[in-house]
Formats: sequence, structure tokens, C-alpha cells
Amino acid sequence: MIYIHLLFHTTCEYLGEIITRNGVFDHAALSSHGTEVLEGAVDDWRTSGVPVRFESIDVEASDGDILFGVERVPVHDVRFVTALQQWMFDRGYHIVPLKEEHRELWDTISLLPLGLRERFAVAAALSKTTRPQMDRWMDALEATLRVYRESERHIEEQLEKKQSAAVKRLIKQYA
Amino acid sequence: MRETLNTPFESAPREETLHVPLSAEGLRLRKEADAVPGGDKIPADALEREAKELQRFASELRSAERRKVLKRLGKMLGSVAGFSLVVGALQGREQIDTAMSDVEAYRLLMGTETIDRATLGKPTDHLEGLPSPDVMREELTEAFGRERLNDAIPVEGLDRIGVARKLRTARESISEALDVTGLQEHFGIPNEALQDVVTETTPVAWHSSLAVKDIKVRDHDLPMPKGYGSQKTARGTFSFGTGSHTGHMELGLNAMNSGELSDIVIHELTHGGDWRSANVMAPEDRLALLYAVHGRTRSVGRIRFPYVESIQNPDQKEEVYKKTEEYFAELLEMALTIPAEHREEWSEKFFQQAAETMTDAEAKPVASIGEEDLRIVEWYFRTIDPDFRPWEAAKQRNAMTREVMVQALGPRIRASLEHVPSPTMRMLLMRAFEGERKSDMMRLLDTYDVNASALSDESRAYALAFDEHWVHEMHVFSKGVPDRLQPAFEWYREARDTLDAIGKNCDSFWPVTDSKAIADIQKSVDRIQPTLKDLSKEDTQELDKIARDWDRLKRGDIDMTREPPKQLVSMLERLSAL
Repeated sequence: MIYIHLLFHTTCEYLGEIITRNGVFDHAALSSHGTEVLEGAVDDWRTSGVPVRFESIDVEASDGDILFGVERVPVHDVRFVTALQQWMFDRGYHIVPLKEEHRELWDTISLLPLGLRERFAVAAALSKTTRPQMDRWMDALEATLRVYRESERHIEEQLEKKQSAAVKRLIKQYA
Repeated sequence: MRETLNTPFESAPREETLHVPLSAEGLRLRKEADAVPGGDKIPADALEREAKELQRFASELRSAERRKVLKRLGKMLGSVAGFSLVVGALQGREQIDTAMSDVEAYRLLMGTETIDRATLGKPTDHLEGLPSPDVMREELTEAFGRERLNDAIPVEGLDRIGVARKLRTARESISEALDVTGLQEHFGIPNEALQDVVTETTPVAWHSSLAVKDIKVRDHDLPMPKGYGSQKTARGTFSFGTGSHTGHMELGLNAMNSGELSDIVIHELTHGGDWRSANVMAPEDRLALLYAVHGRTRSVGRIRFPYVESIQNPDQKEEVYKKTEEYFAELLEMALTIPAEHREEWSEKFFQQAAETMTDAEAKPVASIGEEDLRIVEWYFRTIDPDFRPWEAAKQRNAMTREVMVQALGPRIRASLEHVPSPTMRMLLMRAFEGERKSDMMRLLDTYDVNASALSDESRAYALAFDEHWVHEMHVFSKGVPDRLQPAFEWYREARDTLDAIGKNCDSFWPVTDSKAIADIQKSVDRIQPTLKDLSKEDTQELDKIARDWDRLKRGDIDMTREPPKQLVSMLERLSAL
């Protein structure tokens, strides 16, 4: 099963995505900001594994001390997704898993004029969406996208008119 | 001085462009201006001022457009997903800022089910708040007795998690693993039909692990097994073979005539998937499950399943153990038989059903009825079958069962309806499911040819109230329309008589609740009739207004058979005030 793990900064800015296949790393696609923030980490994961902390009780110690340590989970280990989530959580980042079937919906969402947090919230909601609801999501998104594009076209027309009027006014003033 | 300094540049056009860098918007203006005669004389600072004004204007337009898009999206997605946080996020930044600034809120938002645990092997989460295994075992020994606990979860030789994992994925062996007999022979329903319902709508671990190896359908009642302290017969029984982790189920004759066959099967299957089956869960999870469920049976906030509450046994420890076993089975039966579109709807119905088992006095000290039970249920499903969605399974099971029942029982029902004169009524009564008959009754009220002109909106409202068991509203709706409502009453009388007649001939197929529900109508009619004379002119006018509202509701795209929409509730409140 293929999953798309959307990565978001603490500010909810979209950083890119990690694709997993059957629970293990497949590939990463980072945004420009995501490349700045995460590229080094992703390279490190690929070569050494995802560092995650662990706790265990020292059974040999008489007082049963709790030991803390760091374990590297290889990207092709079935624990990769859990490790990735912990790594992201530990840094205050957000990770939203989507099924592959959600891809088209997510791509459509990306075309809408949403703010960082709004896009993040919609992604989170999308991850909760079951298959029977997906058609209705797509209808809703496409309808909204149509309205947005129509509105955008109208704005461009208004701007062009205003620009021409401004040039005429300036020529009258300076020419 | 100034002139001197400027002299070398006098011939250079637009000196200021060297000092005022133009923005993208300014450059656009410059391009347009250069294309017009005289445009090249416009100074750069003037262009830039105008460009800034244009940018501000564009920003305002886009901001308004964005608000419009968000509003529209929030409205549409809110209705699709039922996801209040999205609506909040899209309609007001404050709410989402607050929610998103809190990592815990985010984790709550995401939940655990979004993680594809199926790809991760064994789930890593545990039931929280439980003591150590040693303490659990000690406390459970105290509660049930050492022997009983060891029978359920032996101390040694249990580490069969590897076997459980292997079997959990052995979907291809399902048809061989589960054997159904007797259903075709005694009731004319294909054995494979029940086999399919079980294998397609229950957690994979239940049937692929041989936790339930066979289901035998009997044509006689089953005696209630020992230990329940009851003389009643059992609808179904479940037992593990001696020293074995494979289970055997029997269904009695009374499981066939209750209309709840699939619910009973689920209940009995649950026994095969509880803490006794080493093929389904790892030892530590089995102990945790038993401990947690036992805790629920002792809690004041427990769900008061009548069956569990009725269990009595002179051996106190035996009674406690049986109650724990049956509590889990009833809990899972409830969770697995709630159809819903998504988890939120499912959990809401779960809480609602849990609350319905309690009296007001019992519910008063409980902070959140059913919440702890749901936590156990969800943890259990995540542990044994992470992909399983009980709400979707319930929908699928209902559809499959309906198809089977209609196919298997249709000819026999049709034969028993030969004496029913009205073709419409015959069509109605052919419905194999009680819920479908009720909704058809409502629909047929619109077309039934007793006295079509007399069938008013109020009588349809009355039918809806009947369908929803809103006794008070039935009373109110019928208050103002004695003459026009009468045909509907007559129609119901005919339905009741017909159902009674069929019930006598067809005891095996029709639940007794049908005739009881219809008889309730008659009681209601008897109660209503004396009040009809008291209706004032104002009340009649108000009823007319309500009838018009009703019309509007009927024209709208509202599923009236599910839950009362807000408008209807308001209408009922106005009616109640009459």
C-alpha cells in the first residue's frame, strides 16, 4: 500500500512529502523551503536511518533506572513510518498521512488560494476522508476551483482596465 | 551648481529611472506606457506610485475572493466531511490558530487510526493506565479464581504471536477455515451465505485464525449453557475445544425467528476472538483485554446490557467471569452492528446506545458514558485487524443479509400473502426487513388508495412520528385532523390485522415486534380521539402553517427517515406548544 506523508513546518508551511510503499521509505519530494529544512535530514535517514529516542528499564540495576538512548531505524524497516512520525513530532513539525487515492484531491487543494494553516487543516481533514466521501470531496473542490478561476479571471480584467486608465491619466499629466 | 552637474545628462531621457527601481507592477505599467505616444515621458516615481495603488487594489480584490472561496469550501467540505475543525479553519483563523498551536490538539485531530498499522506489523500501542502484567494477573486471580484464569490465559506456553501473525494474513484459507452447516437444510438459506457474511464483515483475525472453525445451525432451541444461572434457552452458543484455540458455534431455532440472525452470529463470534484465543492476540494483549473488560463490568459507568446484568450464579467468581465474558461479547456486538458513514457518526451512535441502557439515576454519576468502552473497542480492533472499520462492516453486513433473506425467504413470504387482498399491501409485506417495511409504510401513505383525497400532510407527519416512535408527536400531529386522519388509522388497522394474520402463519420469519408496534398505533388512536374536540380555531390555523412548513420540508432534499432535521424539531416544538 502506498502512502503519501505530507510534511509541514511548525508554522504549518508545506515542506514536501515522503512516499512509503508497504510501510517503508520509497522516495521523498521536498518543496524549496522543505529542501532547506529537511534535505540534510533525509539524506542522513537514507544512509544511517531515522534517529529516534527510546526508553528502557535497566533490569540489571538494583533501582531499575530508566535508560534513554537513540536508535537508528533504517528507511527500509517496517518501523520507518513510526520513526518518521516521532522524528517530526519531536521537532514540532506536523505529518499528515494520505492514501495514494487522495493524491488527486490533494493536488486540487494545492490549486486553491489557501493560507498555510488552512491548507494544513484541509490536508488533515482529507486524511480522515473515506472512499465513499471522496467523490463528494472532489465535487466540492472542483466547484470551488471553478469559482476561484472565474473570479481570478474577473480580477485580471479589472486590473487591466485600471492599469490602462492609470497610464492614460499619467500621460495626460506628464506628456 | 546644479545645472553644471546635470549638464552631461541633459540629453539622457528619464534620468529618474536610474534612481527609482521599478517593481514588477511598475515595469508592467512602464511597458504599457511605452506603447502609447508620450508614455515615455512619465517619470518612474509616478509609475511606481501608481503601481503601488494598483497592487493595493489587487490585494483587496484577491482578499475578498479568497474569503469567498474559503467560505464556499468550508461550507461544502463541512457538509461532506462533518469535520468541524475544517469549517473552523476555513471560516475563522482564530480557531485554527488556537488548535494548531497545540501539538496535543493536533494529535487529537489526527487520531491513531490514520496510521496504517497494517504495514507496520504488530501495533505498538497499548491500553493505557493498566498495571504491570504481574499485578493484573494477581488481581484477576483474586476475581475469577486461579483455575478459571489459567483456563482462559495459561501462564506458560502461550507465546504464539508468530502463529497469530501468520494466520492473520491467511485470507486464502478462509473458506476452508470456516464451515457452516444446517442453514440450508433447515431454513433453505445457503450455508455459503452465512459463511460469506462472516468472512467479509468481521475482523480477519477472527476467521483466518480458526478462532471460529465451524457454525452449526440447529432446528431446535438450544439449552442455556451452565454457569449463567438462567433457565432460558440460548439463541447461540460458543465453545472452544478442549485444550484447543479453535472455536465452535451453534445457532438455535430461536436465532432464526428473531430477525437478528447476524447480530447473534456476531455476538458468538466475539467469544472466539476474546482473550481465550491465543491465535488472535499476543499473551500480553490478552491479559490487558481481560483486565480492562473486567474493570468495566465493575464500574458504575458500565454499559448496562440487560443480558449481562441478568447473569446470576451461586458461585460468585463464576458469575463475575461470565459477566466479563458476556460484557465483552455484548460490547463488540454493539460496536459491530452500528452502520455509519464514518467514525465520528459511528462513535456518536455508540455513545447514544450506551446511554440508552442506563436509567437517569445510573447515568448521573457518570462523566462520559461509553467513552472508556469505546477506547477498549478501538484498541482491540487496532490490535487484531488494523484495517477493520466496524461501521463499514455493519453496512456491508446489513446489505448482504438483506439480499440473502430476500432471496431465501421471498417465495415463502409470497406464498403466505396469497390471502391478502390489496396488492399494495402485499408488496409492502413482502419486505423481509422490519426497517424497510416501516419506511415503505411511510411512502405508501402517499399513494395508498383508501381515500386519496383525505390523506393530509398531517397524516404523513403522523406516519413519520410513528416510524420514529415519537409517541408525543404522534399525539400532537393527529390532534387537529380527526376527519382526514381517520383513513390513515384505518390503513394502519388493516396493516396490523394483516401482519397479525401473517404472524400466526409465519412465526418463523416475522419478528413479534412488528405486530406490537402496529398495536401501539391503536392504543395511540384510542388516547387521541377524546382530545380532538378541544381544538381551537387558532390551533387549527397554526396547524395549517405547520402543514405548509411540512410541505417545504418534503420538497427539500432531506432524509426524513434518519434523524429529525432542525426544521422538523422546531415544527414539533411549535406543535407541542399547542
